Amino acid sequence: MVVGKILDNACTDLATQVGDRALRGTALRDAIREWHRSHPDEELVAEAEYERPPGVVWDDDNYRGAACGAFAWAAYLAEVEVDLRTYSARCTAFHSVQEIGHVINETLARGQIQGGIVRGIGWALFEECRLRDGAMINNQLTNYIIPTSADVPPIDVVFLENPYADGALGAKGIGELPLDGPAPAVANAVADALGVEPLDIPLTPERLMQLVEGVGT
Amino acid sequence: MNDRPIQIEFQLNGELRTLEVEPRARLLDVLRYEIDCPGTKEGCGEGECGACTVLLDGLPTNSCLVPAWQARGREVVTIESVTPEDVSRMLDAGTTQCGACTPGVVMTARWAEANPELLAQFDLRQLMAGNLCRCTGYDGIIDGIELPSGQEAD
Repeated sequence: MVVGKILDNACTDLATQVGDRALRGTALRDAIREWHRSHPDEELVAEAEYERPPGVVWDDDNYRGAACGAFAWAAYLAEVEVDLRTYSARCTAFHSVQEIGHVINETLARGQIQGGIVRGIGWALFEECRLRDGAMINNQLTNYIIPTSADVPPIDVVFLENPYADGALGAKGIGELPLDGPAPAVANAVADALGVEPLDIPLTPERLMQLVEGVGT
Repeated sequence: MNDRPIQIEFQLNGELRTLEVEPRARLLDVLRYEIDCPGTKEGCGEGECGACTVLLDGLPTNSCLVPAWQARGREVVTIESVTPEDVSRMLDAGTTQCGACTPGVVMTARWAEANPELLAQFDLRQLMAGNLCRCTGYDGIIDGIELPSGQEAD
């Protein structure tokens, strides 16, 4: 969102230099071509850098204040089933609400959120990095298990529109947002189902058996 | 070991092709580097991810696990046979994000679309489970598949 706004500002600078700050798209392209025709051998350069929005104050010496102008927010609800013979857990339904400022492209935004949530479900249930001497030893898709389409339910995403005035086109960032909440939601659902208190993920059958039967702890 | 090239003939996207292949050459590499078909992508190279899926005699197959000579006398269909119109529903549904899985996803989806009787036994999520995707969370893929009318994906 910060980078998008900087690009937008640089574009405005470019448009201003060739005549009109409001120019965009093919009109801007044509104006740039015209500028080059009337300014042979000259370079057209536009620059912009991050400007902290007014009211956003950050004290770098004491690490106090607001590091970010705005945060995206989300809520997650997971439903799970646990097989009490095999201790394999499965996410059977997932709902989420996202407040990411203005949603610029709903299909892409929804896909970004759904993809992050499925990664979070995988993290909660089967994705385990095994390390030896600082290196990952299960670094293949044969031994590091990620979700397939058959392992996850449809992911329900609801957007709450709340345009952020200082973001590009009113947007906030959503890159990492969907990965943070889903694994705790899935773990809490498993805790609710089994009456246990998991402190580590992924909740593999081995871990769940230990939690329920108290063996090997 | 006998390393003499093997001459093979097979149908590629409806066209008869004749060429010589190394005995250990993978179908994936022959398609990408010996024939002008680089649309098929290598993902894991060990048969887990499905990125290199092609249709071999109509069945989705990991081309990284198939010695090219095994295509002899058979029919291979790759992503190069697919037109933008064939995948227009996918373009709207958000089936693609980074694109690494997409050629394989499209080929498995073409197989599912061509064999609707499979849906009596399996749901689309099971039919598509051989193609790993790390970006979409799969909803964009499932929504992009054209089902016979009256069938619901989820």
